[in-house]
Amino acid sequence: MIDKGLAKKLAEKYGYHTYMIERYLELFGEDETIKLLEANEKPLNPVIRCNTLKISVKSLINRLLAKGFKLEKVPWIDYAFQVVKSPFSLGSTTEYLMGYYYIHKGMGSLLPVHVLDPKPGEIIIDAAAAPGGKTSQIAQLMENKGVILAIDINRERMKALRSNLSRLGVENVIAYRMDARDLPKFGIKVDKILLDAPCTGEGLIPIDKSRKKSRLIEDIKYCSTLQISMLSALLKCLKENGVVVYSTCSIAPEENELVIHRILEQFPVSVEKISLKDGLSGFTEFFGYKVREELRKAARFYPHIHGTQGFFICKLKLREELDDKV
Amino acid sequence: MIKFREATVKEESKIRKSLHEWIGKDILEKITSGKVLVIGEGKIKEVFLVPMEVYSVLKKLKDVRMPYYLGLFFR
Repeated sequence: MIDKGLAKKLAEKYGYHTYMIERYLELFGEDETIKLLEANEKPLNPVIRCNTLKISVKSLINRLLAKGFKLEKVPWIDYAFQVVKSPFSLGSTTEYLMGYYYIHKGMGSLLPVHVLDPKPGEIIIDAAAAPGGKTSQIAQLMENKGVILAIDINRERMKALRSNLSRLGVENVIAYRMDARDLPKFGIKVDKILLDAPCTGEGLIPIDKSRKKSRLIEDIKYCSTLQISMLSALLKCLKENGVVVYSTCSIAPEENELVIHRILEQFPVSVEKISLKDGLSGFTEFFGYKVREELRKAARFYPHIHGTQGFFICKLKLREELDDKV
Repeated sequence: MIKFREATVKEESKIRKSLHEWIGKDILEKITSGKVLVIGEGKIKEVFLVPMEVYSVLKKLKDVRMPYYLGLFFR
């Protein structure tokens, strides 16, 4: 049983909805919850990803160091750096305008593409693509060879995607503004899919403090339903043995493990091991739910443990191709 | 409804001539190498410069609509 008095006290102290703290106490216990809440108070360093389509890592770093930037390597990714000190706004340098780097708000957003492991020549769907950070990261790992279908429903964010892809010199993208759930109508089967799903963004509190109060428990339920329907539709666009990487910047298990559990119940998919040593295992029990054991292979990231925004990543493999009319 | 097709010889020659005057021979060769000029015809007519692989996927898509982004484009 959780201590409701403690939950209320912590919610008042840190400025959260009480229901969120009650959930954290149940999931993580008191000590971890306090560490998480403390870490959420500290802003994350922005991260720059060198755009190797246009410049080498060494040349970019030399240019930025000469201008007085202080950078630290991101542990998992050799072409990304945390910006510890920046003498100018990161979006106003010549190097930014030339498309030599992309700015990420935290290290976590680089991980899904790293796990997807795109290769030159593949056909890949990025199903919630705007504003283009992950799409351009995929393009750079594909060396602009192969094809990315970049989909997003938001008109304003699609404009940002177009601008970012142009600036970064990305050539192998076909981008559509549409609901990703309509993608099976295209009648195409692809090698890999990235679904960085729309979510409550509970993991983004270190970046956006308004999220402590801006989401209700009903939003988690709404997002969970949307995420299941998007992932179900996208599986119909995948080749046999194709891979889907599902990620969210939420730490709510209903938007993560429960979504994957429902998919495992309905489709011939399996959870694949992720090649990231540092992530914590996915939950198999939470809030009275018991989900498949293989969800331990999913990875969770937290601000107080990994220095990232809160993040969930799971890699799925489709064992047999689905009829796109199902 | 948008119909995509490769530029005809006459169209390609006209487009290349315009680009040549605008950006010069060297840059033109650099940006067009390995790419195909594609015409998208719908309410408006647009010219896209896309890698061959992208064009081959574009031809396969059954639900044809105007992309928000497609290779390099000129309007």
